[in-house]
Amino acid sequence: MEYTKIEGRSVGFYGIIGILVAFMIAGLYEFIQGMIQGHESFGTSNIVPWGLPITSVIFFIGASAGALMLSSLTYVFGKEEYKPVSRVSIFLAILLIIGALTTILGELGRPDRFLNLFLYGPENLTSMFAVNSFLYTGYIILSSVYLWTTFREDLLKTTKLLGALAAALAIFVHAGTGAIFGFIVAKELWFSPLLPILFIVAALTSGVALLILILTVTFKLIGYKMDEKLVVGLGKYLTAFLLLQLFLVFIENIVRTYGGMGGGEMSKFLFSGPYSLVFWGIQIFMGTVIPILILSSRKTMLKVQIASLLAVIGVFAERFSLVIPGQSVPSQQVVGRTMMGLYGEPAIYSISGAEVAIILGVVGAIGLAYIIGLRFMKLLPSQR
Amino acid sequence: MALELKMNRRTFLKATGVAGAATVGVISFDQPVIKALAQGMEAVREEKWVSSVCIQCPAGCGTKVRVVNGKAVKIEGNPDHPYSNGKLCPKGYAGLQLLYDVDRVKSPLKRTNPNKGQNEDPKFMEVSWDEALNDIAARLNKIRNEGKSHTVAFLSGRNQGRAGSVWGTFTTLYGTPNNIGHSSICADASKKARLCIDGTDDYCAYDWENCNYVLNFGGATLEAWRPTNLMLQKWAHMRRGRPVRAKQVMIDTRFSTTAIKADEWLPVKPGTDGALALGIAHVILTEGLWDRSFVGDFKVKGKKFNHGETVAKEDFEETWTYGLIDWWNNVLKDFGANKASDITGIPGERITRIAKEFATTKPAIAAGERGAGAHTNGTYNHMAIHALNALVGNMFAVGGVMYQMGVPYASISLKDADYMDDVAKKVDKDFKAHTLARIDEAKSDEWPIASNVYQNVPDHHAKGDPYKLGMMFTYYTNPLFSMPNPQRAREAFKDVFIVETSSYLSETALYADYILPDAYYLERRQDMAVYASTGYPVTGFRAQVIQPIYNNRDSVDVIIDLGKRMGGKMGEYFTKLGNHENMLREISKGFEKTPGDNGVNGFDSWAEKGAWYKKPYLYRLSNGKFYEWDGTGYNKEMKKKEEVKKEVKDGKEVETKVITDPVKDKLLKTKSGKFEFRSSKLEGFTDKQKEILKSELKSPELFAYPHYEEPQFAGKDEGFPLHMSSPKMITHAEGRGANVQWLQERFGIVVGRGWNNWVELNPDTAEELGIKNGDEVWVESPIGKIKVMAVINPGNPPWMVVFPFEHGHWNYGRYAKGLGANPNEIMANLSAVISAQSCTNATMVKVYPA
Amino acid sequence: MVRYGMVIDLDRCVGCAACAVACKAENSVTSSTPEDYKKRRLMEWNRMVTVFKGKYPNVSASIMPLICNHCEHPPCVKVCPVDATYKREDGLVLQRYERCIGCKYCMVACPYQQRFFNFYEQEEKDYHNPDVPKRISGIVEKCTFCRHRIDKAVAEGKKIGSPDGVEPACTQACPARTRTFGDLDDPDSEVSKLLRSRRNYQLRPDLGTEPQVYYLD
Ligand SMILES: Nc1nc2c(c(=O)[nH]1)N[C@H]1C(S)=C(S)[C@@H](COP(=O)(O)OP(=O)(O)OC[C@H]3O[C@@H](n4cnc5c(=O)[nH]c(N)nc54)[C@H](O)[C@@H]3O)O[C@H]1N2
Ligand SMILES: Nc1nc2c(c(=O)[nH]1)N[C@H]1C(S)=C(S)[C@@H](COP(=O)(O)OP(=O)(O)OC[C@H]3O[C@@H](n4cnc5c(=O)[nH]c(N)nc54)[C@H](O)[C@@H]3O)O[C@H]1N2
Ligand code: SF4
Ligand code: SF4
Ligand code: SF4
Ligand code: SF4
Ligand code: SF4
Ligand SMILES: [Mo]
Repeated sequence: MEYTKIEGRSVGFYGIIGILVAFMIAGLYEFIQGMIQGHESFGTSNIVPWGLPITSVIFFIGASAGALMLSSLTYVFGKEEYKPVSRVSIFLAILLIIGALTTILGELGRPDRFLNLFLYGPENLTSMFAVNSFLYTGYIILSSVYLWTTFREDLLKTTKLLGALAAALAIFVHAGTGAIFGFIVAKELWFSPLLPILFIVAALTSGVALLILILTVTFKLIGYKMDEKLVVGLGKYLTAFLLLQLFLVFIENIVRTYGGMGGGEMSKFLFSGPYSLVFWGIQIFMGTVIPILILSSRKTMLKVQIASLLAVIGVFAERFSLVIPGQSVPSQQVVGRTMMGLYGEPAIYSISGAEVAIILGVVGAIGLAYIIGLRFMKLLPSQR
Repeated sequence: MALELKMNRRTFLKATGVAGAATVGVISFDQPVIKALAQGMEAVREEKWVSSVCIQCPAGCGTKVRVVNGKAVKIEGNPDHPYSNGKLCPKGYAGLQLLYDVDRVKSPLKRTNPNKGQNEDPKFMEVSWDEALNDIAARLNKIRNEGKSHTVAFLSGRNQGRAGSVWGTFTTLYGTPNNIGHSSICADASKKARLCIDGTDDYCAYDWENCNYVLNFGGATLEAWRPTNLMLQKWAHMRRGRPVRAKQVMIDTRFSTTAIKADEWLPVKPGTDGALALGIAHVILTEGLWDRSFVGDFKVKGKKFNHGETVAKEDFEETWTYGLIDWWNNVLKDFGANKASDITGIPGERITRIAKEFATTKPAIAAGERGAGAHTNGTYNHMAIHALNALVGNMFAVGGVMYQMGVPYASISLKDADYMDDVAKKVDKDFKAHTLARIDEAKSDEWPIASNVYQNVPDHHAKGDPYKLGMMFTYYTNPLFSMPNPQRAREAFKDVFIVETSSYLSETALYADYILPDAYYLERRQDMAVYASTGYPVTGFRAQVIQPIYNNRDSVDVIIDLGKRMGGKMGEYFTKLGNHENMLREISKGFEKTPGDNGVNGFDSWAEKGAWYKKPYLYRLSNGKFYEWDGTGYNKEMKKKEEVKKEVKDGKEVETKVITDPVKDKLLKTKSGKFEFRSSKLEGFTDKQKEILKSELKSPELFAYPHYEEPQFAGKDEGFPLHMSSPKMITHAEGRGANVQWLQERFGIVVGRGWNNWVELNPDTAEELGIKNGDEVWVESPIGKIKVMAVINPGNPPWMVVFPFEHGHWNYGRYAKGLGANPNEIMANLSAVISAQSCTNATMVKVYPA
Repeated sequence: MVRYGMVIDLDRCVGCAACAVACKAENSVTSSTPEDYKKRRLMEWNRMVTVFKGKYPNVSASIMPLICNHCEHPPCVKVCPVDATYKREDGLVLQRYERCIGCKYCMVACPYQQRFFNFYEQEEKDYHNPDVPKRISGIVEKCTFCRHRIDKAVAEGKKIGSPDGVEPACTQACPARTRTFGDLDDPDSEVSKLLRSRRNYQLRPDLGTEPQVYYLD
C-alpha cells in the first residue's frame, strides 16, 4: 500500500489552519491568564474542583486508546481492509494523548510545577495519577515507535509486536484513567470496579466514532474516495461497542439505585437533577439509543457518519455525567442525615469560557498537528 | 544551603526565640521560620500580647491581643478576666477584620451635599480635626445662645466606661436633657420588670455555676443574651463540667441553636411567656411547692392554694415577699396549667411537669430576655417570669439570682454641678419640673420609669412635639438601621445636623454632616465594667493595642477636646479634666483601697492585666435569712435593726428612731423591702400616670401585678397571618458585624447559610405558600414589603417567620452593602408599656413568592 | 509513638463557630467574599454543619464542627501524584505547599470535603499570622492540626495536648471546651481517657479512612 502527503495549498487548507490557530491563541491566552491570576474565571468550586477540562482529558485519552486499538486490527490482527486508516489512527492516537496531557497542564493549578510529577511521582505510586503519568509517557513513546515502524516495510514483525504491545498499553492506559475515578471511595458515582471496564468500552466507542468522523472528513477534503465497506465495517464495531456501553451504564446505575447507597441521593441527582438532561437526553437518548437505531438499519456511509457524530457527543456526555454530577452531591458526613443549607446542597458547576477556551486551544493544537502531520508525513493512502 | 540551614537552626531559634521549624518529621521549605532563615530576614521580630476588651457585643469580655511588629494578628480570651477565662465567642476572635477593614473612615469628614437621603451621595470632604471641632463648637454655642440648647440630642449605643460619663457631663453642662441611650430598642423590659418587683433597675446576675435547672423564656443562651461568651462556657460546664448535669429548658418561638441544644424545648406562641410563667406559678402554689423559708406559709398548717379559690390575706404570713395573696386572688387563682396551655400552645401536662421539676430541682433559675420582652406585654411577661425566682426562693441563694455589684472606682474629683452655668442649670431645673421634656418623652407621664424611648425620637422630631431637634450626635448607634421602621428616621432626620462618631460608614454616617471617626476599640483605651452576670464586680481594661492606623481619635478625647473649645464653664471643666487617660487614672485609684483578686491595685496593673475583679459575691440567702460576707464567710446576718439615736439639737436632747434595713437598702430595694408580687413602684405612680398607662392595658385592673397582658401584634387584624420574629445569630455583632468576612461566611449556622440573611419558614407553611427552599419571597407587613430569600427550617412551628437581624445594609462598606434585607424595614414601631421596650417580635406578616 | 488526634464532645458543643473563626485567624485562611460564597469557594478548614431529623413538632438536630480528620488511612495522601500531601509520623496529615501541582485529585478523594483550592493568590492582610506561610494561587490546603503551634511547642520542649499543654487554635478557642487534643497512643492523655469514658464515633467509618477525630454525643 502506498502512502502520500497532502498538498496543503488550497484556500480551505489555510482557512482551517487559521481557525485552529485562533483556537490555540484563545486557549493559550486563558492558560496564561490562569497562570497569572489563578483559576478565578473557571467554573469550578471547592465541591466540584474538576470541570470540563478533566471531562475532556478522559475523553481524549479514551479516543486515543480507541484509535490505537483500532490500528491493531490491521497491524496485529491482519485485517487488511482497514489498512488505509490504520497508520493515521496511530498518529491520531498520539496526538490525542498529547492533547489530553496538554489539557491536564491547562487544568493544573500550578502548571509550572508539572515536572514535579516526574520528580516526585515515583515517591507515591499509590496515586493512580502518578502511575498514569508514567503510563502515558510510555504509551506516547511506544506509539511513536510503533508509528515509525509502519513506515518501514522491513519491520513488519516489529510492527506487529509493537502494535500488540501498544494496544495492550492503551487498554491499561484507559483502565488506569478509569481507576483515577473508580478507586475513589469518596465518590459514590465513581467508586466501582466496573468503571475501568466502562472506560475501555467508552474508549472504543469514542475512538471508532471519532476516527470515522475525522477520516471521512479528511478523505473527503483531499478527495480520496473512501471505501464504503470500510466505513460500514467500522460501523459494525461501533454498534457493538455502543450496545456494550449501554449495558454497562445500565448495570452500574441499577446496582447503585437498587442498593440505595446513601439514601439514593446520588441516583436521584443523576436521574432528575440539573444534569439529568445531559444524562437522559444527550448521553442515553441522543448519544446511544439513536445511533444504535440508526446503525441497526441498513448501514450507509452517511448513516454511519451521523451515528458516529452522535456517539462522539454521547461519549462526551457520558464522561460529563460521570465527572460533574459525581462531584456535585456533597459527601455525607453522618450516614443517613442530610446537612442543612449550603453544605447539604449539590454544587452546580457551570461551564466557564476560560475552560472552554483551554479545551478549544488543545483541539486547535491537535488539529494543527494533525494537518501538519498529514502535510509532512506520508500518513494517508495515496490515490489508486 | 540546606546544610547551612541545619547548622544554624539551633542558634537561630535561641537567638530569636522564634521556633516553629519542622523539627518532627520532614523539614519543608514552606515553614516560614525556615523560609525566613533562608531569606536571612525577619531575624528580629517584636512580639507582645496586650490586654484589651471586646466590644462586638455588650458583654465586655477581656481579651489578649497578639501584636507582631506593630500589627495585631490574633485576638484571644484573657485568662485573667472572669468573663473570658481565656475564651471568646466567635465575634471576639473576629475583631481583627474590623480593625483592618478596608472601608473604615480614615479621617474627619465634612458633608458638602446638603441634601440627605438614602441615595444621596454626601460628597464627604476630608477636613482636619481642628476645623471640624471648631465648627461644631461654634454651631453648638450658637444654638445655646439662641436658648435652644435642649434641641441638641446625643444618641448612644455602646457608651462603655468613661464614654458614658463624659457624654453625660457634656450634655449636663451644655444644657440638654437629651442624652438618649438605645436601651429601649435593646432589652429594657427585663430591667424595668425587675425594678417594679425587686427594686433593681438592671439585668440579673446568675449563679450558673451552682444552678441545676434553667427555665429560659426567650433569652437565647447560645446565640445572644448576655454575656454570650460566659453563657457558652457555663452551658458546657453545667452539662459536663460537674457531677450533676443541669437541665436546660428553652422557651422559644423558633427552633434556635439553644432550642436544638437544650434538654427540652417549649415552642411557645409569640408573646405568651407571661401566661406560661403564671401557669407555672399556679402549679407551684397549688401543689404546695413554693419555698416556704423565702415566701412564707399559711398560718394554719395544711391550708392550701386551691384552683379558683381565693385566700384570705390574713391566713398567710409572708416572709420576704409582698402581695402574694393579692396576686393569687387577682391573677393566679384561675390561671391553671390548662388556661396557660390554651394561650401558650404548650400542653397542660407538660406545663405541670415543668413547673414541678422547676420547683423541686433546686437550685433553679427562671430567666429570659428579648424573646419574652420585645412584645407589647414584655414588661409584664418579665415580671411574671421573675416572680418565679421568688416563689422557689432563689433570690440571692446559691445557684440563684443576684444583682450585679458595682465597681469601686474612685470618683472623678471634678463635680458636674460646680461647672453648670445658668443655661445648664435652667435646663436641669425645667426638666426636673417637667416643664421641659426630653425629645423622646422619657420620664414624662406616659413613660415615668422608662430610661429611654429611643425608637420614638424620629416621630417626635418630625411632629415638632415637644420640639424639633437642631443637632444630633450619634455614638455607637445606628438609628437609621437598627430601630423598627427606620424609614421614619430616614425621613425625619433629613433636616437635623448630625455629627457621627463611627469609624464605619454606617447608614447614619451617610446622613452625617460631620464624621468624627472614633479610634477602633483596639486603638483606644477604655474601661468596661461588665454587664450583669457573675454578681461580684468585674471591670475590664481596654489597653491601646496598636496606635490608630489612620487619622482616627478616641471619641472620649474628642468630646473632651470639643468641650474645651466650647469655652465658658464647660471649657473650664474639660480643660481641667484633661483627657481620657487622666479619667482612667483617677477612677483606678479606687483599686488602691480594694485591690482585685489578681493583684490589680492601680492604673498600671489594671492596664497590664486587663481586668480587675473581686470575689466573692457579698450577699447570700440561706434558709430564709440573708447574710453578708464578713471577709471569711457569710456570717453577718442582715437583720432589720431599730436603734434609738440620741442627739443634742438646739441644746435639747432629741431621740430619733433609726431603722436600718440592710436587705431593703442593698438587696430588695422596693418600698416594702421585699420581693413584690404587687408592685408598689407601679402603685406609687401619680394618678395621671396610672390613668395613661392603664388606658393602654387590656387588663387595667391588674396594672400593679405580674400578669398576662394580651399581646398586641401589628397586622393581626389586617389579614397578616404569620408571626415574624427577628432574632440575633451568634455570628451577629449587633448592627456592626455585617462587614466582617469571618462572621458573614458562616452567618447562619443552623440553616447553613452565609453572606446573607433570610426568612425561615416551616416546611408545611412553605409548601402551602408554594415556596421552595432558596426561593426569593416577599415578606409583607402593614409597614411595607421586602424581598428576601426563603429558607425552610423543619424545626420551626408553622406560624413562625424567622427573619434574622444583621443584613439589608445600604451602606457600611463593601462587604455589608446590598446583601439581604433588614427586617426592621417592615417592623411596626410598637413599644411595651412601662419599659418602652421596642417590640422586635410583635409584627405579623404574610409571605408569598416574589 | 505519638499519634495526635482530637475528640469533639457534641454534648458540650454549643454550635458557636468560635473554633471556625479562630482557625481562620490563626492559620490566615483566606476569607471569602459573597462572590466566593456563591461560587462555593469557601476556605473552611473548620466548618459548622447542622443535620436535621424530622420536622416540627417531632424534630431534632445536631450542630457539628468538621475539620480534617487526619485519617489513619488518608485517601488524600494515597492519591497525591507528587507526594505533596503526606502523613507525618506523629499522625498529622500535612501538605507541602511548595510541591503541590494543583491537580485537585486529593480534593475529590477526600470523603470529608476537607480540602480547599486557592482559586487566586491570597491577599496579604495586616492581621495575617506571620507564623504560617502565605498561599499562592493554584495550590490546595487544609487543616494542619495547627502544625506550626505543635512544632514550635516541640522545639521549645513544651507539653502538647489538652488540657494544659499546647493545643491547636480551635481547641484553645472553644468557649465550651468541646475539643480535646492529644496523643491517642498515650493511655494517660486526656483524649485517650475521654475515648475510654464514653461511646464515640468517627465520621463515615464505613469508608475505611480511620479518622483520628472522634465525636462524642
Ligand atoms: N451574638 C450576639 N449576642 C448578643 C448581641 C449580638 O448582637 N449578637 N447583642 C447583645 C444585646 S445588645 C442584647 S440586648 C442581647 C439580647 O439577647 P436575646 O434577648 O437573647 O436575643 P434576641 O435574639 O433578641 O431574642 C432571643 C430569642 O427570643 C426568641 N423569641 C422571639 N419571640 C419570642 C416569644 O414570644 N417568646 C419567647 N420565649 N421567645 C421569643 C427569638 O426566637 C430569639 O431566639 O444579646 C446580647 N448578645
Ligand atoms: N430586627 C431587629 N432589630 C434589632 C435587634 C434585633 O434583634 N432584631 N436588636 C436590637 C438590640 S438588642 C440592640 S442593642 C440594637 C443595637 O442597635 P444600635 O444601637 O443602633 O447598634 P448598632 O446597630 O450595632 O450600630 C452601632 C453603630 O456604631 C458604629 N460603630 C462601630 N464601631 C464604632 C466605634 O468604634 N466608635 C463609634 N463611635 N462608633 C462605632 C457603627 O458604625 C454602627 O453604626 O438593635 C436593636 N435592633
Ligand atoms: S460575648 Fe460579646 S464581648 Fe464577649 S467575645 Fe463575644 S462579642 Fe465579644
Ligand atoms: S467553638 Fe467549641 S462549642 Fe463552639 S462550635 Fe466550635 S467546638 Fe462547638
Ligand atoms: S479528612 Fe480528608 S483531607 Fe483529611 S486526612 Fe482524611 S482524607 Fe485527607
Ligand atoms: S492538588 Fe496538590 S496536594 Fe492535592 S493531590 Fe494534587 S498535588 Fe497533591
Ligand atoms: S487544628 Fe488548627 S488548622 Fe485544624 S481546624 Fe483547628 S485551628 Fe484549624
Ligand atoms: Mo441589645
